[in-house]
Amino acid sequence: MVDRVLYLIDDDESARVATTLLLDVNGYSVTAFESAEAFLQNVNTPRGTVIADVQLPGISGLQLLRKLTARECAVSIVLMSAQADDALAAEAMNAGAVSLLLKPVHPGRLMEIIEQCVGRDA
Amino acid sequence: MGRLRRLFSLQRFIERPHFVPGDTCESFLARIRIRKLLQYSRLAAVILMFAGPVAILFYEQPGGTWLGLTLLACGVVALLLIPLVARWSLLQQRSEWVSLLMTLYFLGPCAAPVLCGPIQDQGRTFVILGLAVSTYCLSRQSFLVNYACVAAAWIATWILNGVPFGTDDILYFFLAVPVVGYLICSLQTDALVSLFDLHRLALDQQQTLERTLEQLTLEIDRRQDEERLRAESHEQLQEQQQKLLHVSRLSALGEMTAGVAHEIRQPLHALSMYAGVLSTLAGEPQPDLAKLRSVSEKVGEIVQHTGELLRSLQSFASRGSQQMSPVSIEEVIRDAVLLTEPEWRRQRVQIRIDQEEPVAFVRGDDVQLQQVLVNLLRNSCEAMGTSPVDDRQIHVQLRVQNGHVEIHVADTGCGFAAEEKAHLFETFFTTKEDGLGMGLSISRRIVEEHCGTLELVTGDQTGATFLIRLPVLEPGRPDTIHGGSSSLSD
Repeated sequence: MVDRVLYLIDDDESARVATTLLLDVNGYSVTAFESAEAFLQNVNTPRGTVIADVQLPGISGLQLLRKLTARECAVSIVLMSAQADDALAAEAMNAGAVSLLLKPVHPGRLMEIIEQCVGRDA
Repeated sequence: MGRLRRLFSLQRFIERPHFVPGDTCESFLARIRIRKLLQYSRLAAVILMFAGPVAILFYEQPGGTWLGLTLLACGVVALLLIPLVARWSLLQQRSEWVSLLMTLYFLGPCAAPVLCGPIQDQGRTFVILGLAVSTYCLSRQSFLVNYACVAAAWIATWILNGVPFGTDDILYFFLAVPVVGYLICSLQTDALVSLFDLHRLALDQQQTLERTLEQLTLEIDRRQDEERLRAESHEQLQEQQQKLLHVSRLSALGEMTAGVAHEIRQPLHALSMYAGVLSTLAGEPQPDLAKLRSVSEKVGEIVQHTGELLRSLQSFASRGSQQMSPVSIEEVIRDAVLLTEPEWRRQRVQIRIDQEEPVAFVRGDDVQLQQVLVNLLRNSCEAMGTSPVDDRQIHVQLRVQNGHVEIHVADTGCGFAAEEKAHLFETFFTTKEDGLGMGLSISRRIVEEHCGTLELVTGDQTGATFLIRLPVLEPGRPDTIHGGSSSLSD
């Protein structure tokens, strides 16, 4: 059985609600958080796929990626940003992100990436 | 011919009884004295030419013939010589010649009886004394004293000589007449001189007044010119200031662009997600209609919100000139909060807006007032960069008090040092590394142009509170402005 549990971290409420709904109707069980701190507090041993916005209040998506990589968690991390550039993309890839997506993300592209992650996790 | 005309105009000048404009005290006195001399000399000439033959015919004392001839000669001199010398002295502007002539003329007939013998030894002393005093007094121009002295000398001579009434008395009478005439003329002269002084004083005052009036007229002209220039430069300044306001707004907008792009990408992202949802739902054999409706409502909300943001941005950037109209302060605050949303969200700042009912309206330019609020909110966000994350708050309070709308903008930022407070509203004063120092000075000017005030209420380390006060237009929404600021929602 493929683990279809996803974590979504986005501070923008409308984006968070919309993304959650998209993943939901595609058969994923999504737990959404508005900040990286809330995610770290509530999820002790994260596993599966984490979709995080880069520009988060407090701990940023990139910092979360580094923290999780340092803790050697078994997670695939997909980053999204509304202000992405080549430097940020390179940084994200070097830090171990699966992908850095520039908002607005095409829903098909997002699902494709998530399918890949879930398949890899399985 | 020229000399004749000159003499003729001189005659007219002399005959003027009062001062003429341009008279100096000296010229007036000389004219009066000459006129008096001429009148007197005419009178004296008639009397002396009559007294001379009388003395020759009826005075039987030794020297009587000589006395008569002397008097006759004096009469001729009075008739011919005196007017000529008087006019000549006036032409030469030598008034002392007139004095000298008067003295000599007076000495002649007075000294004749003494020199020719009719007056006895005892009397001579007094006569000569009187003449000496009167001559002295003439030179000092005090005619009254002069004639008093002469009269006293004659009376003393009469008493001492014990002259009986007879031909001598008639002679003395003839001699006394010009003296009395002279005395009367002198009194008139004194009165005229006093009058002249008064007139001259009045003339001086009039001239002073005229000068003052002239200066005032010049001053008024100058001020009017200045006023006109000032109005022109004020107009130019106003134009420049409007341009500056616009530029400063565009500059703020430029700084906010990155945030704005982020702010538009977020709703676009949400819309993209919803598009995916709709696509997925549409692929299901039994689409969940309730879910579809919910999604479409959310899409509508997002589109509405983004449209509002774009509208605020557009109006914030486009307006170049001031447009005064009734403005809802509530809308101004709402738009300013919307415009600065990327910044306060990035800084994790909580914004709280408290307002009293009813909604307050002011007369003003909505975009310019927004600019003030945007400046204050952005400053507050920047001031809270170093504050603890859970203590980054902006409190906007709106209330109506004493006919004024009061907007308090309070933050929990780093506040201002005492030195900074003193220069806060000065142009080019800034506490930011990359600041221009225009924001607060422009904001204060905008508020003052709206007949309001902008001040720092508190600014210590616990945060800063700015207060904007604007004259309230009318509590509640007046019917007359439905077509104004609400046109967008219509």
